[in-house]
Amino acid sequence: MSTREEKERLALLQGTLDLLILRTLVFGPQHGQGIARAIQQTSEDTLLVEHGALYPALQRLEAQGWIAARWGTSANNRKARFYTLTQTGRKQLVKESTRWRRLSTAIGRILGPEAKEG
Amino acid sequence: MFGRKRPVSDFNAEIEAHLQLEIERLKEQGLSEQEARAAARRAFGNVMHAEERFYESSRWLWWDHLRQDVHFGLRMLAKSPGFAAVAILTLALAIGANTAIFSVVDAVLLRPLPFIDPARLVWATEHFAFGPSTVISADFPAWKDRNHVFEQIAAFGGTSGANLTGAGEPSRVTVTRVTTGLFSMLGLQPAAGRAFLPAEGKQGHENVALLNETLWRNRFGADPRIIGETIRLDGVGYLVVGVMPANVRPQADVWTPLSLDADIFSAHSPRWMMLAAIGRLKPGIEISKAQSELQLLTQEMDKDAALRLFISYYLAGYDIVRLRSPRYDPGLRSYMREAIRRKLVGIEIIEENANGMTTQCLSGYADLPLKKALERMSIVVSGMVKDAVAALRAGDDGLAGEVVARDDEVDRFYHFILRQLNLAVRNRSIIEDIGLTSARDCLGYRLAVKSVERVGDHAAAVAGLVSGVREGAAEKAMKEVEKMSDLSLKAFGDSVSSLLRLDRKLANEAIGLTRRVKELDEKISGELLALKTDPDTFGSIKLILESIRRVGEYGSDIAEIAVDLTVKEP
Repeated sequence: MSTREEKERLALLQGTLDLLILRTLVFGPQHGQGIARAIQQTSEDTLLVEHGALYPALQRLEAQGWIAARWGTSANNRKARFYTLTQTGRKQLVKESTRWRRLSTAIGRILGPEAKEG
Repeated sequence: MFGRKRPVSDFNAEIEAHLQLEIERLKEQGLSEQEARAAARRAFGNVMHAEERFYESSRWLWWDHLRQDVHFGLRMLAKSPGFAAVAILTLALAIGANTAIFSVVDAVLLRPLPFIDPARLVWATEHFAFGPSTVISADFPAWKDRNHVFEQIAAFGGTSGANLTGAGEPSRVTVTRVTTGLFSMLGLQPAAGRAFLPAEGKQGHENVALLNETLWRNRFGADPRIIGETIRLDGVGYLVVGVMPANVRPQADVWTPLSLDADIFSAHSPRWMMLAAIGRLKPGIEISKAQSELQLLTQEMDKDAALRLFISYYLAGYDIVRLRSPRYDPGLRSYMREAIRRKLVGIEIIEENANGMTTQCLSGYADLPLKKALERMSIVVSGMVKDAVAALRAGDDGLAGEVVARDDEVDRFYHFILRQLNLAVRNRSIIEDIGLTSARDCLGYRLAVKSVERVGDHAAAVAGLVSGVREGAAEKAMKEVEKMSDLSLKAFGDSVSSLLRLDRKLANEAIGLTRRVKELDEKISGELLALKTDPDTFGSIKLILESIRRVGEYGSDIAEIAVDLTVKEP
């Protein structure tokens, strides 16, 4: 990874990773590597997903019953563990998104309008 | 840490599948099998360690708690004083790294390489749950700075593909990042130009690169004029400083420096790199001795990690913290007990056994209002600076040592104030309780308290230099140093008062004083040069002047915050 990428990408915050995983799964079942790719792509490469950090998060979400997992076959014919959003997971996503928006609005207010300097 | 029902083998299979998918994707992007494998592994990091690092970093803790607050209903905390925020920390210290050291000659070399004295070159690794690996970048600085067995230790890693543009056709090249001392440690000389300079490993230094001789011949026609030219890697410019022979290790088309002051080398960073570390043993040091030293250093880091994590929870505002560790041995226990006593206020250990301990925080803003605490903290640090300078004049090592020890007291105030501020930013009623009016005040005080803390560090630094300045050395200069210190301290003291009283006039006067401190610094430095003091003493005095000047400058930072806060909120 080049220096530029490392500097410019934002590391994920603990709470947001859960939210992003749930959000990604709205579009259908996906395996861990696919989730990592999707987050990176939809954020236009601004978010850095530490792949290793994804799995503890997936474990946690699964334990809470927000996602369910089973082994399946990937598009290029590889065995992979696919995650699906559960009904409670959907509700959680709504709750988490609202909370996140509220939080980011609040933080936005504290930080004030964007600075204009180049 | 992981779900109980699921077997570890299933989890490992999932990770394996992940790596395979990622390797295939990278291969589609044009990486070789080997590069793709390495890159996938790198992007993955280490899951156990990943989780731990995440929690160790207080920056993330702050967010995490903000999130948990909603669950806990922490807003109740202020309203019902009986409610306590509880945290249970499990320190997975037992999964910390084991270290191993191999002789480079035995373990790595397939054919003899032109390294100097290869018998003393060793390869140092950490072992994690996922099997033998390299070393985590965050652990490397401790190995580098705190070992006594290596003459030199260097690292490399981060090998990745990059698009080389600039002169000629764009092409895909392999780039490896190396610490600046690596090649010279191995005894590898550049074929043209020069190797990296130490300064090129500092963050903020201009980007520089070394080219592989093969690339140089094929792509640049072995033109020596490429040295001093800029090439572009993934669009970023790098100044070419030299060419390395084609057969050097680690192999790459282009090498760029790793800066050891970059984020990935900080223990607080949630991100890191996997690095390969190679060291040159001091003459006569056995591999087994080096092995046990690195092991010890790594364990020390675990202790540090435990303490840092504990302090993070204290700062975040938790009242009861339960610390659990499978390796809560007497060593760790006494270390934690002692460190907590020295660095935190009002923490009582209410339970302790072989698996951990439970603590409760008993003191809060009711015991010591925030402004009072800041005032007392700045009195302590002012006293430290004064005594450090007195110790310097008298050549009194005892007094100097006592100044250094007082830094703990500063830490206690510092942590206490941070905790109150952390609690306050989340709760309006606490803001008023601690005597501030808005969240903006909290931000200002947060910066100010850091500056006060730094003044304490500089006092300790001056005290640490006392033994470097020997008696009789520039007696006249010492008088001037004392004068400068008095001026710096006045600037600092007035600044703190201006903040506490929101006195704009006083703040501006303090800022003015800082300018005079700077002039005095230049004057004394000039006189010292003229006196032809011996170089060691001169060096020490220069550092002392620098620290004393900083005291004033931190003061002026605080005064600026004071001015900012005198302006009404929009």
